[in-house]
Amino acid sequence: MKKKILPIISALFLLLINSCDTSVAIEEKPIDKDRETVFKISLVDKTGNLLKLYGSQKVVNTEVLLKSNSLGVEYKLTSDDEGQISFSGVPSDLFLVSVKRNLTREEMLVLRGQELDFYRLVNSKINLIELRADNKNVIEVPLDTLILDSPLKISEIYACGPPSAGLYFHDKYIEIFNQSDSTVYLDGLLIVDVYASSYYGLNYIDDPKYIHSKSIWKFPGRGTDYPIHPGEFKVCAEDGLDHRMNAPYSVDLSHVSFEFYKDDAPDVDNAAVPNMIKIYQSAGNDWLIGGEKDALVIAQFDEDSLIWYDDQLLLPIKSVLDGVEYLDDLTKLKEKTLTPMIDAGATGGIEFYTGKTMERILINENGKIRLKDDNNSSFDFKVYEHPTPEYHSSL
Amino acid sequence: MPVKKNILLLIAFCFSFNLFAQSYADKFFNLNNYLNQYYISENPAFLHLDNSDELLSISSGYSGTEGSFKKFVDPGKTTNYSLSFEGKKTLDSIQIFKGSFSLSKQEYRDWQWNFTKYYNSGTPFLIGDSTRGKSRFNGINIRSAYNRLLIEGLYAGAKINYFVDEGLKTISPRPVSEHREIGLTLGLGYYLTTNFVAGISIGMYDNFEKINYKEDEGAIYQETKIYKYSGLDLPQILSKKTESRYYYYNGYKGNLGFDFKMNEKIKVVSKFELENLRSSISDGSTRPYDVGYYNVNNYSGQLATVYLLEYFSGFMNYEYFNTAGWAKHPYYNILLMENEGEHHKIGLGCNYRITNNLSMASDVSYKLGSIEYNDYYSGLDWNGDSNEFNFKFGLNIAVSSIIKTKLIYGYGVKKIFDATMNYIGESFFSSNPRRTDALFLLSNYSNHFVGAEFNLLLEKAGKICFNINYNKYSPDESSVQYKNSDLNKVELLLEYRVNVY
Repeated sequence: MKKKILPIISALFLLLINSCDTSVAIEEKPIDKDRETVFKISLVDKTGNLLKLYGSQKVVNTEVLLKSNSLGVEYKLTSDDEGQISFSGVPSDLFLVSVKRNLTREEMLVLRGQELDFYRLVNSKINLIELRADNKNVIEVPLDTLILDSPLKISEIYACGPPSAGLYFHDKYIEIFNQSDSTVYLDGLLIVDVYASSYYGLNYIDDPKYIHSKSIWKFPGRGTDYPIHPGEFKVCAEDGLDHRMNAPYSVDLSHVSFEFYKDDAPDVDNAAVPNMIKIYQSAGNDWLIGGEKDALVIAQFDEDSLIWYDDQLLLPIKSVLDGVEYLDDLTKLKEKTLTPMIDAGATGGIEFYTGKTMERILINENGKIRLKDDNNSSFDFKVYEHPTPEYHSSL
Repeated sequence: MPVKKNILLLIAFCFSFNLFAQSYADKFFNLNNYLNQYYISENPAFLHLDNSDELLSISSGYSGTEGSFKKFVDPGKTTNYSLSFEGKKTLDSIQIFKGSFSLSKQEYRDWQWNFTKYYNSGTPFLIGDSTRGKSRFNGINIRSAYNRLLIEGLYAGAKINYFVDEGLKTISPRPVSEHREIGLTLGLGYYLTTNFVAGISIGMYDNFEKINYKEDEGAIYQETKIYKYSGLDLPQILSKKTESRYYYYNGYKGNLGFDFKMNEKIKVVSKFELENLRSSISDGSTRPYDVGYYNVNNYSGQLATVYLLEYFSGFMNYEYFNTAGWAKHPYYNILLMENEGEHHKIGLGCNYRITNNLSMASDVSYKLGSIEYNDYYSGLDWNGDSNEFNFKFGLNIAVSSIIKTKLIYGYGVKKIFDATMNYIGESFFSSNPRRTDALFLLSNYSNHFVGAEFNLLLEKAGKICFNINYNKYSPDESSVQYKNSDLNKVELLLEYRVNVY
């Protein structure tokens, strides 16, 4: 017995030690403590417009929005007279940054010789900064683009499908809002679904000129047939039906402005609702957008000038009026497919069949109702429990 | 050795257990038997000082906790069931072996926002989901210890612990988990003289937890939110159905101890211990990525003395414990949290044999502690000092030659003083239920303890032992957070010991 017990115990020790998966290495205790560092951001105009106006590149007294998608925290800060911002108490993380310097009519008169509205300087190249307590260097955020704000906004996207109705998903829609003071016509505008394929490893987010798509639809009309008045919402539904007949917690879309009808497939057509015109959709029996993740843009561009690229159509980025991306996991912005020039962030974080919707945030700007647009859906959109077709939940 | 005995020994070896469990009542009335390096330092080289009999023990245990005086991450109700087999055998004049095997089933009910079983290890990195329900864990535990006299006065020993279990949350999203714990301790003990003993031991353990969230049928009808914590506030709340978490936990411990017998009446025992625990956590099934690192250093010491007379024994005990932990960001070289705590504890006890069939024991202890916690990630810090007083009294009654019983009553009270709490998180104290994880540690409370042990001696048929311990914790009446709440803990153990060798 004495001779047997030692080998048995030794074998058992070896067996147990071999069972250990990973040895955790010793790490040194850091010195810097989270939230205790004073961060400094410097706003600099790289377009030359402020230099021309004021002889300085400093972007002073301008609001900066910071948001961490992973932590869900958001900070609103303002630059000082030196174009700098100092702040502390912020947890270390990657932060989306949005700077919007509106140019007044008087400033545009100096720059362009005309009193123009809706022009602004934005940060289109650097819109993600790393705030980390162990880095005390000043972070420079350049305002590198002068843009004209589009009057038309994507105000809502409902895509996940209703709850308690199995795999029903035919009640998806996109809603468009006119936030200008004059009537705009939808005729001929495009609704484009941004193409990417994780299966094939295709993602064209870095294409500096074009949006790639395999689903492009056009509004009907010959120029002035389908007006959208100031403050008006228009819904384009996958199917213009009262979906509550099939899914009790869905929504009535039988009276919306447009529906997507695919005439080469067994799709449902409500004759009372004008149909969107399919320019190109390579697959599917209906207009179909991702339930949890996708990107959509609206654009003003001649369909005949679209360029073929393999089985995709290319839409120039400069023709895009507005765009929105939504993701299932908001912490994974690296999975984005829509260029940050159009949308630097992402909304969503919604699961399939929960009946939730993504709606642009309503703001009051000098007494006027506006929808928030910092070209960053992380800031601009909010998730609501129920869809609100052709109205806003805050009105 | 007869075949029957070999089989039973094999059972005791392969399916062993609970040697390692001590009856609280027995220790209370016979503290002298437990004041040695085997128990104080848990050094396996001194297995020959283990005072349990060479019996095979089969025991069935139950323990449960229920009540609302708890941290938020604690389950509302816990129940543990176990079935254990334990045996000890002196192999020859220089070798002793002891082993145990146990089956366990744990149930955590009303466990919210957390599925990390090691949540009480101090790590701020937890994962859970938005549903509240029952989780169960079924596991097995094998333990064994062995010592051997190498040369005159020098003993060597080793003990191992191996535990595995599988967990399941029984409601959607039905996460599953696996746990594997391995512990190994090696020790040396040397008798410099018959009255002076020195021991040294080193231990390591390696624990692993794997948690898997997969899409289940319920996900079609119910939204799932996965919560990932790196502190008490600011959880990442993710609308996703799948996630994997890997939790690696290593510990190393060194221990030095001395026993000194001044004469037949006075004995002094001591130990000094250093311990380092560290864990790393990663997420993702296909391409795991770091979530955080957590490190704890503990050091402790104990000095105890016993004064023995024929009918009376008196004890004096002093303990010191210090712990310091910190957590690091997975990618940046920054501290997410750090905490520090220490306590001094002084105890006095006595045991008096009134008659051959009746003895009494009592002890009183005072603990002075302090805690400081900085959750930098959440913008929260708190600290406080505490006084803790405990008193116990018990009677050991031999009702007859075959029935013996031990009864104990205890009362304790803990008071916090000089406590402060600061936070910069905007919503922490208005909407985050995990604020109670901090407030719980700064709460005054009292507790009542009742323990009893009943022994039935069946001569050749063995011995049946039934143990029950009950603790009731009641927070101070002035507590706003825990008004009208309490916490009840019950432990039951039914054990049958028989001589089979």
